[in-house]
Amino acid sequence: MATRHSDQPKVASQVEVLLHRANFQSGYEPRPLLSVVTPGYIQIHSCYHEGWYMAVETEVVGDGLRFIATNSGKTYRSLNYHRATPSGRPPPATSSHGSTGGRKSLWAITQHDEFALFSTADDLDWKDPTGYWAIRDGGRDVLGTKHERIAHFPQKAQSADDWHGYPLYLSPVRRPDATVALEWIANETVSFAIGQKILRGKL
Amino acid sequence: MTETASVLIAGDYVDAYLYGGLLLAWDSRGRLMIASTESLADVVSSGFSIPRRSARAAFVDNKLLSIDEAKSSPGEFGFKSLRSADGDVAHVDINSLDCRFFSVADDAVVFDLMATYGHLFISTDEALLSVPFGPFEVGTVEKRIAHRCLSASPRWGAVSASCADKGAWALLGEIGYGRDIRKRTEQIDEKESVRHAWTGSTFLSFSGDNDIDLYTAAAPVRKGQHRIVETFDPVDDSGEWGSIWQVAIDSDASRLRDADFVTAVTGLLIVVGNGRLTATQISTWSRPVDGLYRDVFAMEIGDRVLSLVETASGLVVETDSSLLYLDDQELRPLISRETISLRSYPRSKRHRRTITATVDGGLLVTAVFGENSVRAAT
Repeated sequence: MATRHSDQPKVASQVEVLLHRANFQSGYEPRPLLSVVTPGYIQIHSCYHEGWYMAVETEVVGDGLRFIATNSGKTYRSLNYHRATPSGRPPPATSSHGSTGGRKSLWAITQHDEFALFSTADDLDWKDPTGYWAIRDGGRDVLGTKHERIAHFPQKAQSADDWHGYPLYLSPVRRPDATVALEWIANETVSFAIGQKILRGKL
Repeated sequence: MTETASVLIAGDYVDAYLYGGLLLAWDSRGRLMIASTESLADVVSSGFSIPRRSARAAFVDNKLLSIDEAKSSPGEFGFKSLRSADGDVAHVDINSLDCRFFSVADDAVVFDLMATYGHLFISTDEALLSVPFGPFEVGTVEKRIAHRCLSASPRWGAVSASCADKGAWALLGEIGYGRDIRKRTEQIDEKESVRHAWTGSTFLSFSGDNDIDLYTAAAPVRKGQHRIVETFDPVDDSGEWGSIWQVAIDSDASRLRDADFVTAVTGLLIVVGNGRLTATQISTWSRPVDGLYRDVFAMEIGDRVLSLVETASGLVVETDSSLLYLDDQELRPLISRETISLRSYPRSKRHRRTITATVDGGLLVTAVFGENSVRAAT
C-alpha cells in the first residue's frame, strides 16, 4: 500500500489531514480517512483501502474550508453556502437574485469527499471549457441533497481564485461537453445508459 | 386496473421512434434500425405463447378486444407470460425481428429522433439532419440546420427544432409525403436564453437548484404561432406572456416557483415539487380564466421526476431509476432501469397506447391499456 504526502506540511491555525483514495474508479466508498495532526507531524493511522492515498492540508477560511492542494497543485474551497447548516437547514440565500433566488445546491457528501471528487476530476482531466465535471461510482452515487449525481467545478474567474464546485442536475444545455461523456462511456467510467443520460443532460 | 404488455429488445439503443407501423431505433454503433411492429408481434406471439390476436392488439393495433369479443373468445388474452416473477419484462433478440440496419450518420452524437411525413429528423450534436425513409429503406441524408440540435417536434405542418444556445429554430413550410420538405428555414428566436424547444401542446422546464437559470417554458399561443419563454421566477414577470405559463402562475404561483419539474399534458398541468406530484386541470390553453382550475389528483413521489408523457391510456412517469405508469391514481412500476429516452404517441392512430423507451440494456416497447380496456380474460 502506497502513501504520499507533502514532505513539509504547512501548519495552519487548524490543520487536518485528509487521506483519500485518489483512484476510486470502482468500489469507492465515501469514507474520509481523517487523521489528527500535531503541528509539524502527519500521522497516518490507518489505510483501509487499496490504492493511493495522499495527505492534504486544509485551512478554515471565512466562507468555507480551503484544501491545499490537488496533485497538480490546485487549491480548492469547499464553500459553506453549498452546505446545510449544522441544524440541517439550508444556509441563508446569498442574494435575492439569480435563478434560485440565491439558494444554492447543497452537497450531501463530506467536505473531504467533495475535495476528493475535485481532485479525481483534476487527476483524470475530466474537463471541458466550462470547468471540471465529476461523478462517483459510475454516476450512481448521490452527491447532492436533492439526489444530484454529478458535480461541476466551474472555471475560475481569476487565476488566483480557489476552485469550487457544487452538485447539480444536468439540463440539455448545462452538461459536460460530449467529449467528456463519450470518454466516460469509452473507458467504462459510466455505463452506456448513464453516459447517454449525461450526453442528453438528464442526469 | 391498467394492463400493460412490455418487451425489451436487448441491446444498446440511444433513441427510438414509432411511426406508421415501423419501429425506428438508433443504436450505440450509430446505426439506424428499422423493424416492423408486425414482426415484433409475431416474435412476441411465437416466443411467449401469446395468442396472435393479443400480440397484434398490443403492438400493432393498440386495441384490446371488446368485451363481447373477449367473452366469446376462449383462452388467455392477457400478457402474463411477458412478465417474469422478479418483475422484469420479456426479452426479445433483435436478430429474431425482421429488421434492417442503415448507416446514416456514423459519428453523430444523437439527441433525438422524430418522424413525420415520411422523413426522419435526427437531432445531433452538430446538426439537424433529415432523411426520407420507408419500410426497410432510407434515402439521402440532408443537413437542415448546421447547429447543435437538441430536439425536433412536428406541429401543424411544420417542424420546430431547438438549437440550444443558438435559440430555437423552425423549419416552416408544407411537408408532403413523397415530396421534399420546403427548404425554408427560419430562426424564430435567437435569444441565448431560449434553451429548449417547445413540444406543441406542452411546455417544458429544467429542474435545478444551482447557479444558473431554472425554467424554460414554451407554449402554443394560437395555431401556427408559439411563444417560447424562459424564466427563473415567473412571478416577477408582468404577465405579458398570456399563455399556459400565465395560467399556471395564476393557478398556483408558489407551487410552480418551488417546483422541481413542470410539464403539461392534454388539459393537465403537472407540477412536481417537494416530493409531491400534482395534476391541475387547465380549462383553456389560450387564455387564463379565473376560477376554472382545480387539482385533479396529487400523490407522493419519492424519486426525482425527469419526464412525463401521456398515452391514450394514461400517464407514464420517468424517474431517476425507473419508469412508472399511473394506474387508478397510483404509480406502478413498469421497469426499474436507467432511462435514456421516453416517448409516447397519444395522437397516433396506431401507437396511441404505446410508449417506447431506451433503457439500460435495451429498447422497451410497452402498450398501456386503460381501465376501459378488457384485461386478461381467464
